[in-house]
Amino acid sequence: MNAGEKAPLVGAGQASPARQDWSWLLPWAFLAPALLIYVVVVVYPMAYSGYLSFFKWDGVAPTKQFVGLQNYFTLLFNDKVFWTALLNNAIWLVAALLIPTSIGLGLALLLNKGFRGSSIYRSVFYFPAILSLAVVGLIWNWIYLPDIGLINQLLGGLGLQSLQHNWLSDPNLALYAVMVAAAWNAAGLPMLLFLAGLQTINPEILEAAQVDGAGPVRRFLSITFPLLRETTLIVLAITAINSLKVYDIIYAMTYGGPANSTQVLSTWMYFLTYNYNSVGQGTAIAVILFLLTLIFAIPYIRMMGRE
Amino acid sequence: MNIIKSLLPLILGATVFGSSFSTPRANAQPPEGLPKPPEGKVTVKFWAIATQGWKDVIAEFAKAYPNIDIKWTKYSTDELKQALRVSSASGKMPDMWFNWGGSLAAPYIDGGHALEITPELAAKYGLDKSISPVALDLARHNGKLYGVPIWVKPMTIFYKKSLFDKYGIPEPKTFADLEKAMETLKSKGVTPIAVGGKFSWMTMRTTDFLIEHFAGPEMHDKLFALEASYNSPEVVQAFAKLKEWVDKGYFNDGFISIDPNQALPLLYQNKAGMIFQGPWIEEENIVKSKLDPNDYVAIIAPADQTPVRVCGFQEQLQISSKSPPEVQQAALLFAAYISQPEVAKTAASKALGTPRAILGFLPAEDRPIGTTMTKWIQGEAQLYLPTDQALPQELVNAFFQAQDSIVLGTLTPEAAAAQMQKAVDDYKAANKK
Repeated sequence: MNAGEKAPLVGAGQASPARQDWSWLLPWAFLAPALLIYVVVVVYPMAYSGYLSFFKWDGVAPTKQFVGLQNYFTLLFNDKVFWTALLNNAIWLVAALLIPTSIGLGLALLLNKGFRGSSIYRSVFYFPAILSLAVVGLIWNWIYLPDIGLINQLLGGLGLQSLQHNWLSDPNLALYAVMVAAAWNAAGLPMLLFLAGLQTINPEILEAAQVDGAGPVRRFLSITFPLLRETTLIVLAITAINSLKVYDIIYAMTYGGPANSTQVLSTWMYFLTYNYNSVGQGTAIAVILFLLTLIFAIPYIRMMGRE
Repeated sequence: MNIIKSLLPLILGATVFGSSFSTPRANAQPPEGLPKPPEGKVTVKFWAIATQGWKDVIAEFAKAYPNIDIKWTKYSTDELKQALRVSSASGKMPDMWFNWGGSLAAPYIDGGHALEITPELAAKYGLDKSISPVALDLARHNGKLYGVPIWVKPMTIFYKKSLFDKYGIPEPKTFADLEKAMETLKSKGVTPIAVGGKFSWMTMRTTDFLIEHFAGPEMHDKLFALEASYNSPEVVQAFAKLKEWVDKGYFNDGFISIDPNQALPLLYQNKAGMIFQGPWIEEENIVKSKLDPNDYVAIIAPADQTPVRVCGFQEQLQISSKSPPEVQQAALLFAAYISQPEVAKTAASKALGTPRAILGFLPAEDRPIGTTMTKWIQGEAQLYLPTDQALPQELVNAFFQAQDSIVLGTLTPEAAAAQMQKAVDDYKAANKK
């Protein structure tokens, strides 16, 4: 090359290789520690559980026997308790979506009026939510005792002996008795969430509607409830996901009985894995539960992502 | 300085006075006949149930063998089962653990986790001479020993003596006597049998007794070996009798959802007359509640069969086959140490409760329940395992389901027996070797 001539470009249209932009790595670098923990504590165990669901294994023997989809077939076609548990989860889901959320909404509407002492009532109604479900189960076990439990004692005192019952011993009633205890615990969180949502509603809209002659029910149905849409969706999604995970209160109150009538998928998964040496079937339930949870989790995550 | 001088006699006097109340320094000499401990500092990781009385005897052992440290991690019953299962899968078993027998211990034996106590090892550590043959027989798995039995625990009927005396009820010696006693108690407004059926195993004790009565020892053993059919007249009779007792109100109201811990207090309060329980209630419940154990009399549940048998099981210490040799030696030494009769008599060992698996060892006189039961297992009665240890764990759920369905009335005795046999047939088909 002659002096004074500029060096040609390195290929027409090609960028210089001298400096590359690594800034896209920066977010991943910050995410890496949390991601590593997440992979080790959540992703790997989930994947390993899925892997185990294809084996017959007692959880202790050094070797496992590959059985393919046999564990799934056994659960779906040969295990009555699995179907009892699935049905109980469905009943629990519907009840959880309706009862504690409605109670929470009702309490929030009352407390939103801001009367004297409302903050104390807010604490009182939220208090059960801070108790662990195992403690809730213990408390309600005592309340439901046939002879000396509070409910039967109250009914006896009111002359309603005919309504006294063995609440947790009756396979037709036991699950609903446990639901009452769970609703007592679960109503507090929806109450807080709805309360927060109600705070965002401009009171002038409601006042204007009131001036126009709309009654309280009309104002609720046409203004308040529609404006609570996003809060309601969050409450319903959280409640649905939590209801599929229900375990401790069933374990504490009924241990899945009487005669497996209150088993849910989580408890039956535990029993199969730890009590009955069927790790393959237990983990198969875990996979099924995971897929069911995705039905609610995906829309919830997409909704949160949009915001 | 003057103050200290004037107080010195008082301080010295108090020290001498106080030391006279201290526990006499226990014998720190190792018992004779045991092998020498491994050399160097050895730590044995030991998992056992929190309510068991290991603390004092571990301290005594430490005095005799100062280079061995037994590190006891405490668990509840279910927690221990979980922890053992999880740790076996992850290769993190402790060096020594408490375990039951039968199908609860079998996975750890079949999985190669438990050290085989060969005849040579048993002889070396004196276990063949110190442990009773009944305990060793109960502990054997496929003819071999994989643990050191510590307790042999019959489970049988306890009756409240003061209540029986009050109503003039004689001690039941036959099945008919037992039913008569239940009828009398019921007529006096007392629940005949207290049960906490929430976890099904307490109800199982009654069901097992009824099967022993109607089927007899030989068939009962064949049922456990899956060589006889549950769908048989004898089992149906046993199930029908269970249902009959439920319908007659011989059990406490709503018992199927009651925690087992809530059953024994019914006897304390004279609301119930009998209970199917085990010897642990003497130390863990009756003595702790400062009640008189002589008022809670254990009898061999009268099955009217020969040989006379009582339901029972052994509990053992198992040692990891994967621990280093010196740790295994230290663990074996601990198991052998606590199985020595002279050690079992010490105050430290008393907290372990009775009956012990030690040959010829009788509890102290102030433990009548332990004394009675020890005499049974040392000659008067044979033992049969409870269903939840005798059957494979995969079948225990089927048994509990059948039993509880009978109690609830959702299955007839015939249907329950048929359902149970179907579960056995499915299990055998799935496990054909």
